[in-house]
Amino acid sequence: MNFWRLVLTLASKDLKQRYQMSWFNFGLSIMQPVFHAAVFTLVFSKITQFGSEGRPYAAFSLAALVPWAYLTGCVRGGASSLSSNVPIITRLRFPREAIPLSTVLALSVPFVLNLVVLAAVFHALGVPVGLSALPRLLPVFALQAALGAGLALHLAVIAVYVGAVRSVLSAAMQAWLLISPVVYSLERVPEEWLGAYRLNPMVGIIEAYRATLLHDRTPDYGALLPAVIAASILLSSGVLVFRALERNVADHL
Amino acid sequence: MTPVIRFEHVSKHYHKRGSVFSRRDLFAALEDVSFEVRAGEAIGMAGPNGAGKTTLMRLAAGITGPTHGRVSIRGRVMPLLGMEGCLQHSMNAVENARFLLSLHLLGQAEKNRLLPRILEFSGLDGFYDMPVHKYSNGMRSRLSFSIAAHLPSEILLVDEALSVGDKEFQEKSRAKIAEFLGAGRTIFFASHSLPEMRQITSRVLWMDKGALVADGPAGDVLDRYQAFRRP
Repeated sequence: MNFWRLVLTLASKDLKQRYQMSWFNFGLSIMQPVFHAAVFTLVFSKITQFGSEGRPYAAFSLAALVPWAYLTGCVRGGASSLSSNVPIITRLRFPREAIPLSTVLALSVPFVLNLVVLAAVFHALGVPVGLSALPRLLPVFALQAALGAGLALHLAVIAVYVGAVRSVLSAAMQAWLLISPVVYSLERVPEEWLGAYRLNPMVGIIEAYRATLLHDRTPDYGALLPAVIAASILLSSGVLVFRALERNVADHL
Repeated sequence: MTPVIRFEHVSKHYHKRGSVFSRRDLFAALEDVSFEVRAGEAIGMAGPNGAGKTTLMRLAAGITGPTHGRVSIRGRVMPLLGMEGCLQHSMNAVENARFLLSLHLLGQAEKNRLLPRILEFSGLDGFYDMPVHKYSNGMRSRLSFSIAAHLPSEILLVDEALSVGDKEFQEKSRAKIAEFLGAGRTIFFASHSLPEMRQITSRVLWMDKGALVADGPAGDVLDRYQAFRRP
């Protein structure tokens, strides 16, 4: 109980430190998925056609870019979470798992704000997005948070020992973006590849967001199975890996 | 009585530089150190810089683990070492106290009980709502000492922490240490001030180059240590 209160305290500290300095930074980070959507719209709806499931391309891509930004945040923030808390790690004993978990928790705040921005953009584009979508998104968000937490736990400790992780990550995230239906529609993936393609846990998650936000449909919860499996494995192995490696992190920070 | 701290053949090796994976360039900060501390003991640690005192403290505090051997700790350990560094500069005194109390997994009720005592002890009346980055070094030390000294713990690690603040505050800190001793809390005390160590501790570990040279009654060990340093 007090552990989770600590996670909450660390998360609010994280948010304050990140955004207190400048509202401009805060605004910029909230608007980031919109900027990406704008660029992608320009490139992919005008220059090449990827299909946008009968909706404006900007709305189509934004529905995927918002959960994607959350995932990227978990990966980046997780990897740098321990090194941004050096003073307390090297001087005090406390459950250090709280640090990467607080990073993931803190990211839910910009995520919710991103959804608000998304609603505004959808409204401007004339795409209806109902409040009825929210309850259907909750289990999807929980799943996505579990996936993010699993990744953050692994990366937090590994990044301390292997400095190269962070540069590898940006390449890995780009590759992951390309094999996920973010800028293009799942409909464009060739039939014979779909089986393998769907193993990517982000496919089910992104499709669930598109189904609810874009098409006002109940998500295909069955398609979330790879995400459920990936999140369970990553979360449980994350706890084990973190506990095994955290003992000596203070020596390497 | 069962020991509250037990070191069994503990070694701690650090990498002098770079890669975690290289087996070369290892440096032994501690080598095969064994001792036990019983509840309520006040133990001093004497030795020159680089003797391994800080490493030993870090191991006892659970901040890092041993390379070989076993460290067992029973009870909560509160390090009073360099706590100023733990203060969050954008937060004020109250927020910092709450933050550090949270790190020790204290509940809301416990925090509310300790907070007024911490603030009162710090003597920073009138500056509670000022962000810590505007504090002077002295004020930071007073705040961090006050927080650390009020955290519930069975074992205290004190590292030169008594030279904090002005004379009045130093008196208060000494009185606090005496209070801990009276209350039967275990104290681990590392200092270069041998008179102070004589006064506070009953037993002294003499460390040199990562090894335990002597372990015995404070008077005896400190006499030998002083004779060794100034032959």
